[in-house]
Amino acid sequence: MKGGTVIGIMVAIALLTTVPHIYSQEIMRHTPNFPYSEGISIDDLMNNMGILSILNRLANRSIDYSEAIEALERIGALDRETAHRLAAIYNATDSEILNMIGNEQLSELIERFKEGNLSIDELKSIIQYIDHIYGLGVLDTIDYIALLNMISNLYSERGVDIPIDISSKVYRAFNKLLTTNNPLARETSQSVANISKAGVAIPSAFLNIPQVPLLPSTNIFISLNAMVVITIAILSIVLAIVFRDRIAILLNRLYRAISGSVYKASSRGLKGDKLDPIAVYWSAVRIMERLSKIKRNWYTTHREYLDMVNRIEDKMVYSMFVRLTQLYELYRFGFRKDRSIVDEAIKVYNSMVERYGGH
Amino acid sequence: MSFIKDVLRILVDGGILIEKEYEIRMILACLLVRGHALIEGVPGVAKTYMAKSIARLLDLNFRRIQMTPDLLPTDIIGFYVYDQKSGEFRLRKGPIFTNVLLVDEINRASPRTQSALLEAMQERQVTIEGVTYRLEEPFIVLATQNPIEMEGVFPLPEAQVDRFLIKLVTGYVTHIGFVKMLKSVREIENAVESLKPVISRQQLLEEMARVEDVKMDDSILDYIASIVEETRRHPAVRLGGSPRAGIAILKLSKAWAYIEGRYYVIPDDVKAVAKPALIHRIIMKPEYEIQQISSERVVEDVLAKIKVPTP
Repeated sequence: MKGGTVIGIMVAIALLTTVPHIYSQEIMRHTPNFPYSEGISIDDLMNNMGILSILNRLANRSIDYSEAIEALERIGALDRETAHRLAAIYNATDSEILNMIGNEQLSELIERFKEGNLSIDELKSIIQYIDHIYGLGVLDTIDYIALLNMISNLYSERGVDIPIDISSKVYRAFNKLLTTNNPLARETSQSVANISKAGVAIPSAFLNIPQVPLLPSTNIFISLNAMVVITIAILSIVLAIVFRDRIAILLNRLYRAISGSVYKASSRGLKGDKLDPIAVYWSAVRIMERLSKIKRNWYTTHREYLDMVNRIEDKMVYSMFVRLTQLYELYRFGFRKDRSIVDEAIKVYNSMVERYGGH
Repeated sequence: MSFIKDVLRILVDGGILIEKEYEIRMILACLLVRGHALIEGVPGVAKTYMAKSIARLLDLNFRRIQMTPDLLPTDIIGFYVYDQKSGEFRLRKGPIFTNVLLVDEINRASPRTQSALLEAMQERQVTIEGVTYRLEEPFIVLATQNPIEMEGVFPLPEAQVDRFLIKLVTGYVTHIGFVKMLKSVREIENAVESLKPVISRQQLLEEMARVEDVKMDDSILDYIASIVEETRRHPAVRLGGSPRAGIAILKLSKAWAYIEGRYYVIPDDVKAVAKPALIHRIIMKPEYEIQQISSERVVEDVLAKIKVPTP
């Protein structure tokens, strides 16, 4: 019980500690390799297609912003309040937007730009400032969209093309507002480069719907949980190393106790009247499991199990098990409750135990 | 039940139907419990030979209908014609008045014709001009479908597919079997034509009655119910097995046990018949269909999940 055995025990403890936890976090699989996937329902897919279609039509200028917002609200991608606020932005004047934001410093900067005191390059600094306060959470997404929209107008008023990054910022912020629960919508929309108030063309990549993922990815909570489990496992290994001698003694005692009980149970003999071919068969299955190292699963039938264990070396034991399986089948499913079957089953089983004992 | 052994000996061991033992057993099981079979397979996999040989060996009449879109219900069930000599209308019975009816490419017929056929299958009788005629027992329809062609066909609705007791998917033989078949093409053709009955029709009806007496433990009933219910809960399934599916498994399990030479059912019988009894009754979710996960796969999955009766 030293050296390799102790290491084996420690590994076993580690596995026993980790496997159930990790297994419990696995998505239930029915059979090995069954391609279970959460799948994206057709409803989600259709909803997603609806959003894409609206944004595409917006990009193609077949609908304007107010129509797009209305359509998005209708399919449930935007809630009513958000839709109203967005609609209000595109009808509001610059001063109304600035009043709504209530940031004096920003208002002053915009006024100065309008008066011609600030250059286009300095307008970029204003955009950076807007990004900064949005990042700090001072502005909500709709305020941010409103300000970017206003900046776009300022560029247009100066006769300068609207920078692409403003369009992208507007699009990303706009997209954040889409209240769909489908992760596919967000994944897809991130692949879209530009959209602005003026309706910059949306690339055709829009309609490239990603494939349905085969397995869901592990989320952060599961990862944390796994870390806790791994920590416990490492601690167990350390403790096992520290107390290896005591553990070895304990395990040795446990092994002797179990093997003693098994021996007593099998050597007791099967002669009682309460025994029947069913009890006898299941005892024989335990023996076959030990001999063949093949466990009988809950979904394996008695005949399937018989086929599985036919490669055991001791053909005599196998032939006894064949007979016990036949008797079990007759008694259990064949409505044959004769005394002769019971007696024969017990007799065959006792021979099997005798033979197995001499193994 | 010795006739089963004779049939298998002549057809399988005799090399007439190579590598078709499972299909023959299944069709016989279906016949014994008064069911009908839907056979899906590409052309040229001995579907007609199989039906014809079984009919000959069991002393049954055999008819074949090639379904086409312009086929009318009357072409199947029959109609009255005016006899000028006698001045009366005479019944001209359709091919449905037989024992073994092979319906080739059932999905090529119009829905109207399909319905007429499926109704006759269900009721085991036909009504022509208000007069009802019972179909002679035994009566089995073996309908074939080509899984490849999708144009110009009228797929059977789920409710009608459910009327088939089993769906068999039959494919090509292995390379060795193919070579063996090529070696003896002529002999096979002659052998099918010269087959002699191994049982009389009356004896067959008696055998069918005996199948009903096959015993089944309550735990097997529970096992069947669990399998069918699990198909409804399976994540890949939109519509699982109906109670009729459970009845189909029950009947087929008895027939399978009988074919195996037993008067009682064991869980292995249920497992053996579950797939052909269920695959055509399960409707998959589209997202799984896209991933090409079949209903066969679902049934395998369910069987691997449900506990067999123990102890």
